[in-house]
Amino acid sequence: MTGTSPARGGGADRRLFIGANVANSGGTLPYAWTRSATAATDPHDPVLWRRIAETLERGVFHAFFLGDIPHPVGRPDTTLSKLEPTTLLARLAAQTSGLGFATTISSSLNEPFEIARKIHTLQRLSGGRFAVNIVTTAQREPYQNFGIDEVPARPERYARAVSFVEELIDHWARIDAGAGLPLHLLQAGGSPQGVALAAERADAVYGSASTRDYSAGLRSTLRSLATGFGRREDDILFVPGVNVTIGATQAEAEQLFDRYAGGFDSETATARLSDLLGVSLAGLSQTSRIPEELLVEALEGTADQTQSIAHRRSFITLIRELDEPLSDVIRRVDLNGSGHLTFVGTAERLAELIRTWFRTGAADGFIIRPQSVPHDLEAFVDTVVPLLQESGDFHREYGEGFFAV
Amino acid sequence: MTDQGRKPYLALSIGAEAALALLDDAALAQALDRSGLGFVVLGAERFTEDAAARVRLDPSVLAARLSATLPTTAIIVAAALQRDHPYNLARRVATDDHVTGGRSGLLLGVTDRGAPAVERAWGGAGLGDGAPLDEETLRDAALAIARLWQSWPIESIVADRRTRVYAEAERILRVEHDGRYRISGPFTVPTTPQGSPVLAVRAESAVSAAHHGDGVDLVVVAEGEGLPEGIRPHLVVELRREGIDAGSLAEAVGALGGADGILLDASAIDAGALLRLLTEDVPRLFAAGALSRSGAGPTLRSRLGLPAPAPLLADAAPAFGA
Repeated sequence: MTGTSPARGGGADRRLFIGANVANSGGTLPYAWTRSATAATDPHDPVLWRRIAETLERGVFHAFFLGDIPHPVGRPDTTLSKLEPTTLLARLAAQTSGLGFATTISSSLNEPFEIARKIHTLQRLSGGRFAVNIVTTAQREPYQNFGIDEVPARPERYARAVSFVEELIDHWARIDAGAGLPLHLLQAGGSPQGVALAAERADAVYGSASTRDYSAGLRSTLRSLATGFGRREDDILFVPGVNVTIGATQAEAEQLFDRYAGGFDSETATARLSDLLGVSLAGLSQTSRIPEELLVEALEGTADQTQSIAHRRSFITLIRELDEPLSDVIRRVDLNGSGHLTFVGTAERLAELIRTWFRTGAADGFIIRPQSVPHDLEAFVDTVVPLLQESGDFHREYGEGFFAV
Repeated sequence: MTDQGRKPYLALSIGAEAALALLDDAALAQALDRSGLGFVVLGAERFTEDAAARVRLDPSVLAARLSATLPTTAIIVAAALQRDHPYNLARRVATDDHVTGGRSGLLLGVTDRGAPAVERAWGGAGLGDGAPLDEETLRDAALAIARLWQSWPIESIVADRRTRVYAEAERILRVEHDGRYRISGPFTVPTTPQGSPVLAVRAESAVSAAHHGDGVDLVVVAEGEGLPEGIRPHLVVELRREGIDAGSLAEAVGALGGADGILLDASAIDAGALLRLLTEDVPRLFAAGALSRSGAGPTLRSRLGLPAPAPLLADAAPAFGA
């Protein structure tokens, strides 16, 4: 929270904040699990998770982030099973000493006192190495595991999130009883309500931005909003996600991506883009451009509660900028339907991209989303991190506090 | 209740201060790991009026951390319906069971006596109606959790690289639990190294203890409540004493014929007293033949001689369509 983090170096001392989001132990590509020669039950094997955590610590990552949806949402032909992140990360904290952790909690499906005590226990046992990412949960299925038939409307979910955070902070003060353990909040996503909540309370926003200009705009808005709550601009970090496939050469990276992406099917990809935009593209010819009025409709559409507004906005910006026919646009849709930037290439190119976004003020760092685990994480740590350290953009050892860069 | 000829196993309820001491004190941790206890319970203070104020740490987080320090000891975490939902609890404990290789369990009770009194169980952030906070809801929550733990057989994960089939989805089952709780499922975590984590419920009385059965492995009843008869799960009697010594404990245990296990409340003692208990009193109790050392199996279920859970989803529909 504000006031509990050590001062961040602004200006010339600015350094990158780098985290990793391991979507599941296979990676963000549907068939990444076929790359590994190890056992079928790896996603539930503590040995694999320990290896991931140790790799991140070797790379001096600030944070190991795990998302959470309390339901197996996804495709059953891919690795959709998941351990509960808070419990898993508590274990991994015991096996590391500098790495930070960000766990995800649904404000709709948890009780704030229970969570305040959990996070406080995590902070006490890990020496303050945890942050919590509060999400509202937008999918229908998880609610049906809690006896709730329909997803509450977005305003209701966010009202609940705001009161959840307020209660969390109240409980924290009592539980902490002057011990001084910090409550770090990280906000994933970027709906207007989420951004407002983040600007007031969060230490960092993990956002979606497919282009550098769009990212710069989001960061600037967030920093300006934070000052409206009496905070300094540097009190909040903007760190977009990037899906990463790294190869020794560009051709190798592209080959790896194609192999684990599971082939391309234009009908499915068009349907996924329609879902992402919240408008139907089924009647459009693959050779035509998406009409501007459809993009405007998508931008204004808030009726569909199950899609992330941030992802949608990010992708619309990309579509306008590229000005490509539908057949090309659908190839750019993240296979998970997210609006995150996707990178396929060499370590040198990725380091350059990260450096450019960072130095031009488009981002304070990145959340790395390995498309294949552990391969792309290990490649990032062994080949990208040294380049960022040599250029002075990334730290070489852990500092004091979760967000110390 | 099973196996009348066997002496009860011994389990220990420990408090937060002793648990924290275990993280830093290798001799204490080693003494616990070698003690022959059936299991340790974290957080059970919440079930008793005078002890609930001592609850300071979250038991599931503490267990995940502590199990990294204790390579052998099995840990059961306590939780009350007042504060949490069966779906959340089931996921945390199943996750713990995967990372500990099958040494985890849940002790579920109705009320957290350290929290402000409420009438309804926690039901989802005011979005759903909480169930009445009573022992029927406890029975229903236990059944729901046991069903969730069976929803995703780990054998369904075939990870066939040739056909690119990760899981045989038709073997993952919906839960469609419809009782005091409504839970659709499926679960997010596949079955664990011991099939399902060990599920214990804390009954309020000997009479109510007899109502617990489906999906439940252990029923815990406080000593003063009398002994229930004819229950199917293991019966574990909780003993609370001001001072703990081997002589008086042996006597108390002798008077409890029929219990499968004894849960000794050691939640108020500090690290020094815990070390003495583990290295002096517990060996004496075993030597005197009042109690038996737990079995040597790799999982908690095997050590306690618990059977595999009875199938609860025999008629359930597949969670994913063809």
